[in-house]
Amino acid sequence: MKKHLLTTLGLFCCLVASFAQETDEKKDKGEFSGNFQNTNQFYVNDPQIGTNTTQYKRELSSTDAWLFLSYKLKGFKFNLRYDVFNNTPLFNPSEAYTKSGIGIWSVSKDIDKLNITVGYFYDQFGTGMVFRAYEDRNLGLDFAVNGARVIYTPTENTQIKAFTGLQKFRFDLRPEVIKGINAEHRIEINENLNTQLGASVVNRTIDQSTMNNIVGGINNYELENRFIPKYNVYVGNIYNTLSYKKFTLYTEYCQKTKEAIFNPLINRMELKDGRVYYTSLSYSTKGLGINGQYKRIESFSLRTSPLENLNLGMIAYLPSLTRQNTYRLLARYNAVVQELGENALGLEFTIKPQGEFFKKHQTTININTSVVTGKNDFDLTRLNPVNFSDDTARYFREHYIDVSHKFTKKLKAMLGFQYINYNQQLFEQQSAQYKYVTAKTYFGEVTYKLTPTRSLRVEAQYLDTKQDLGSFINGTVELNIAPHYSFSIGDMVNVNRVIRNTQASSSDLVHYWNVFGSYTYKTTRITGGYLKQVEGVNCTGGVCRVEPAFSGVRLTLQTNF
Amino acid sequence: MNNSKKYIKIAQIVIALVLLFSACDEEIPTGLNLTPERSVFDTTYITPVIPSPQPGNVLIEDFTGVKCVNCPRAHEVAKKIMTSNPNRVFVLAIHPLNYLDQFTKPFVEGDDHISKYDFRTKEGGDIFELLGRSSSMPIGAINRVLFSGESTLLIEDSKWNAKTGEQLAKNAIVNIDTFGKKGIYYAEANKIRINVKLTYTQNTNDSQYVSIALIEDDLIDPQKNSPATVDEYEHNHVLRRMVTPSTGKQLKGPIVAGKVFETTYEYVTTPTETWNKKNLKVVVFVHNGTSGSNKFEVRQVKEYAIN
Repeated sequence: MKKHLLTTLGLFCCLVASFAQETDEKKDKGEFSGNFQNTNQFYVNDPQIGTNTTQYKRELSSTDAWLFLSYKLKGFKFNLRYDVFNNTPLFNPSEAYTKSGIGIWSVSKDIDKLNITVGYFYDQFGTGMVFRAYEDRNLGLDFAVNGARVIYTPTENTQIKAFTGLQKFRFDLRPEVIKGINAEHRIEINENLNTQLGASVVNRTIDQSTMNNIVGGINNYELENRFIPKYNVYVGNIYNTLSYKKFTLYTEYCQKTKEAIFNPLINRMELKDGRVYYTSLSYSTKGLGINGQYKRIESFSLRTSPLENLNLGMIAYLPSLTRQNTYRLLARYNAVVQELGENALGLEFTIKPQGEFFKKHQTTININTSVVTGKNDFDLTRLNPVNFSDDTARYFREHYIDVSHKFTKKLKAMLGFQYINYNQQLFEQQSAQYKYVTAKTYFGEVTYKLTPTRSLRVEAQYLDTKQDLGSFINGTVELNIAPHYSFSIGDMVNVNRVIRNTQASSSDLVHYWNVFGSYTYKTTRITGGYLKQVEGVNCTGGVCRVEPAFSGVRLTLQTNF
Repeated sequence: MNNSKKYIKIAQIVIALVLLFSACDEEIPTGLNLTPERSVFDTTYITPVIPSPQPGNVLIEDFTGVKCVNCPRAHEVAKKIMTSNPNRVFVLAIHPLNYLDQFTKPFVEGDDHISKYDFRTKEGGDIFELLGRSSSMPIGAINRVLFSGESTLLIEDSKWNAKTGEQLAKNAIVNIDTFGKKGIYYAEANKIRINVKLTYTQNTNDSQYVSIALIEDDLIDPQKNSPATVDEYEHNHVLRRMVTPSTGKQLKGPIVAGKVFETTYEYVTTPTETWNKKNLKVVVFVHNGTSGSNKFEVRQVKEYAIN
């Protein structure tokens, strides 16, 4: 492995050097760029908030770092990323993973209307529901594909992509071959009406060794539950974006052929085909934006093999229709997309009243509502039931409103309310003590400009729930000194707490406080802080993972060059 | 718009090709068992008294064929190893169906000789595939171990003796026993009852499987040999049928020292399975599952006559 890495690194340097040398003569040095990101964590055990992973007992610190280098010259592009993981909980919170090496490399070349890439690449077809190779460092995901890709752009309105390769898994590759083709074509019918059509086909082939494991599992089922698994699965989609004046309609249909998928509800594999229907309609005019979305998933688990679960081996990316919240307490409960089946409906309004007073004060109102149910339990007559707990088919529901207003040139404020119903048993596989969590969160933010370069921001949230860990209050005071410094101090307090996974008595107030500072110089940002973080689900766009509580020091460095 | 029509046409062709491919029939995966269970009684418990471990026996899986000119040489190698290590080494002579037909197909009319039997079995083909199949014969697996310096489980017969010696030095992690005369016997004229007791003497994290094979000795039929085909060649240890799935039957639950699996299997011969009862034997072997660095490795093997 080491030899392989050195060879790759050597090859990269030689290629870059030889091209640089050749072009020195022509005074063309190409373009070199890159970035570096580093996170260091020092763990301080705090049984009161339930810190219990290996890093608190043994390793006491961890480091993640990524150095990305890119060199462009004469239509060639060389990419290389070196990854460092020392005792990291990033891939699996209960593990301390240590390994360093070349994470990805690639060489690509533009030849007229053709782009060819070999090595590792990230890409997606359409919204990514049939294929998405992407990286999310926040969640420890890296679904790069190692292989070859060709992109052909015959006209500015048409693009055809094709690839074949293996999915990356840490510093290794999954053995299942993935290949696919995608075509997109834009047609401008007239100045008010245009449409963009797309279609893709993806195929995944299971290797013999993985098939042996699948067969071994099937042979242990009761006879009536056994089936003939498939080596190949084919997935296709067609999608279209239709724009007419202020309206945009997006529709997508995905279908996959029968293959073995794992159903955790019955704890065994089944032979099933699957499909997804997705549509969104948006309307935008001066002072008003409306977006409505609907998605239905039926057994659409597309992974490198049915033996992978959670966030492992994902080939398809199924986006969430629920609101992506950023405030700490508002983002506490998220709807993990249910690939085995769900119905989701989301509706969002952005209103900017057009009266003189409101325009002057930049008043904006955001309203969002969403509901997620099981795939067989969608009933339009029950879209807004009074009591969520009585409706056990529901997975998730959220109502959200915020209003922001600029009172003076120096003072602006925002107030809002969020109401959530959350099926915790489903999303987090928690004990059945509370299957459903009902949470009401009141939140607000005030920003006051002290001087042209200094501002003070205060945010506060109160999450009221009788379930899960109980209620929380969160407050943060932040001082920004442009262009270099930012400091904040905050505390999140667990009030009316419910005992779960902690050792403190129920009468203690549990504080999750944090102190944070950052320094920014040009494209470099250094941050440091001491923080306590409550256990919960961390999500990006419907892909989530349950993260344990954190207590300790976190230092980060990020730079682009 | 002409371009649009062209691209739509291309898309239609691509979709048609994909549908064509997806409609193609795939081979049924090796080792998949869709037949009813042959185990009629099953119990598991933990014994407080852990018995002494049995010496580790060795299984030689000899992949062979009646038209393979060098295979008799491998039969001799296996026979010598068995004779030198009585009751410690057992052989399965596997004639894989659908693989290496030029070596394994029986002699038929039009050939210089005619076979009475077709020794090939689907299970034999499954096992050949599972262990990584080879493009040549004779070839064999010794306890299904991937030996140091080897890239495959299947190795040439010239290496069998030395590798068997290595394996014989080990103790088994699981003892295989039966129950005397009422252990493995003919319950009815065409029904073989097999009572097996497996007792683990060590913990293991490897997934564990048990495989049971029916073999037949003393089958007289043509065999290619050097320099000429032998008409009355004695074929021994010929794999006739697997009682368990070809990949084995999984032993469920954590495997700890003292864990006992007692299982009764029944095999009912069909009218076409005209095997000589007197020459039938049962080979029981316990092995690792299909994943891990030492996948498939045989952890103990025993052979029994049928009473």
